Amino acid sequence: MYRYDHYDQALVDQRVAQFRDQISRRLSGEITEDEFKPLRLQNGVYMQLHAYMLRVAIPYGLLSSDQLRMLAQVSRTYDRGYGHFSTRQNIQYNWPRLQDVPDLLADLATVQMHAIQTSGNCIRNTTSDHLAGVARDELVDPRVYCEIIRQWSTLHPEFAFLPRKFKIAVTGAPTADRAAVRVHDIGVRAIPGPGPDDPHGFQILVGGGLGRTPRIAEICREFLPREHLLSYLEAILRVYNRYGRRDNKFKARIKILVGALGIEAFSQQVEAEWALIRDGAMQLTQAEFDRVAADFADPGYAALESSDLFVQSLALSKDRALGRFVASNVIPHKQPGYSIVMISLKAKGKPPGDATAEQMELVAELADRYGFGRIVVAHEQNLVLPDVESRHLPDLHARLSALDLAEPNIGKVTDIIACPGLDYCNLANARSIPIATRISDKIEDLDYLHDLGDISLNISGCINACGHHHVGNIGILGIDKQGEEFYQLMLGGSPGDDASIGKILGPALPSAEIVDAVANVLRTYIDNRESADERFLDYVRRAGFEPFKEQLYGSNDHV
Amino acid sequence: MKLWIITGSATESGAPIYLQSSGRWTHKLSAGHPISSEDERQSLLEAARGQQKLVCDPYWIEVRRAELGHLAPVSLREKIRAEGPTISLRPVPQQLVATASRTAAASA
Repeated sequence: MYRYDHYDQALVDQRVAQFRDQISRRLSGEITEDEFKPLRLQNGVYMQLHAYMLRVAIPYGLLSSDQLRMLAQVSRTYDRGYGHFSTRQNIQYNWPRLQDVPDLLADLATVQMHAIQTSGNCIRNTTSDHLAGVARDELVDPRVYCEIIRQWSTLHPEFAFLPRKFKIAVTGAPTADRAAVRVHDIGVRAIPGPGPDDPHGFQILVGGGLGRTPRIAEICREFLPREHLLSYLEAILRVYNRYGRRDNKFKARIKILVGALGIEAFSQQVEAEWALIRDGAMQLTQAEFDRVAADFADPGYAALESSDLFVQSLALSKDRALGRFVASNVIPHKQPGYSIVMISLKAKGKPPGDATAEQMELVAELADRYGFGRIVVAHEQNLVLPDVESRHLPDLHARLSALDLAEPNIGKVTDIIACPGLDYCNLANARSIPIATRISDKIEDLDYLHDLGDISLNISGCINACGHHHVGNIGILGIDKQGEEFYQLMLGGSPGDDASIGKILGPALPSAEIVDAVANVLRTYIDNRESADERFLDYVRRAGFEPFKEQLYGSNDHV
Repeated sequence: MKLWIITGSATESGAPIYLQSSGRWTHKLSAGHPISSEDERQSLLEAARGQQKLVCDPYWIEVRRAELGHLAPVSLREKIRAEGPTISLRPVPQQLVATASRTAAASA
């Protein structure tokens, strides 16, 4: 993985010192909260319901075992012994005291981590496929480009005060978007070159996003030669910076600009801007690509026979706990003899995405013992051990089970994405986490869970959609109705190659009814699908909403 | 009759704090000063805004007299803010941590 050079380290160390001084002046009363707020936000410090919240960047979700140990140590030393992995592949601490933040950041800097650009109207952490570098269906390792984008966008002086925050996602797998690139401000898809011998390039999507105006990104450029990636991104950012609205924060994201201009006019603006800069200093040379790519070379894999049949046999093991775990949490690796192991942070009754210091330390230890000391944070709020020799799967499962980290539910309906909601968040209207835990408690039968197949269920506590409810196959949005928590149920969303925005099924339901409503929806699907091969999403798209409305509301005349 | 309390977030910790009749701040909502007039509410809010060293973004919330006359917030948001998250804060029970430690020791 990428290691800081002296520029990176100096930049991070200097930022810690600068912010230490700013915090000192805030605590002494020298500067007011109004003066301090933009400074703290530039360093990832929010004010939430109960305390400050610190968001720490995890570039494209990739961690070393030493970094994960430090995240655990930070949670124990400065917080309450746990952290929350977010849908942006970052980690959030919910309870730091302001006076401790400089020391906390200084500790993080010792392992090349920081909180810069995790808030504010700037280019945020570039996210990617959590299977990057190890997936069988990958055309190119997207982490190399993510790192190049990180270096370009870090403290980019022209884009420090954009109209609104800006999120870029990159996928290297042309036929399996696991990075939700179509719901990002810019989505970068690696695709093959036009000719059989041409190098890969990128399809550039723009204007996607969730929030109060959900929108699927549109194609801005069908094929971009890879050497022009940075100049093209810069051209998009310049057009957005120039024409994006600054008078209304709810209409300031690039998706609104793209919608207002239309994708053709927007693309023309970008192309015109790009023509001015495409052959300049941002052109990516082979030498520069190779310099960054060297940090993402394969680790020292052993030359092993294929383990596919062995893993399949484990999935059918008489040890059903192991069998279910392998069937749902283990993914084939590009390297023969190895497997990718997904660690669910969605154990029954637990807050989605939360991990204790003990759990983080165990995962770090297991990454060292069974892999190459690497861990990845998935945007679905799970962790990944990307390089496990398949023969170790039974031992690994036993170790994970001991700390409640072996829930066999990856991709299943209890693998719930949920924002912190009203339990923590200053913006939320309703709670998310208790709904998630009640749903996971409701679905006790693991055979039933697995029979349901792959279903995503996403929950947001407000219209800002941090829980990505619009792109859940089942989406739940918490709303405030005259002081009471109500929940809108949506169906048909998807974040992947077949991206779609879910639609509201019917009138919002009170908190007491929403979990049974989800169970009702699942039962309707099970009872009416053509076969076990028909996924929930496919059934919704084929059958429409009527079967669900009829079962849930008793008639089909609800809007 | 409506009642209000002035609240904000403590600068040092971000924790919710409530204005007392003494002019000092407390972490206990029930010890906050109940206000019954809009004029008093406005003047105390203005005064709170002048204490930026101690408190961030003060505002008023509506409260009511609950059982035994204790003050309680009207909105769910302020109830959660006053009492803390409604969920378990440590996702792993301590007994599981102990089990894992024994497992690790056995496999070492």
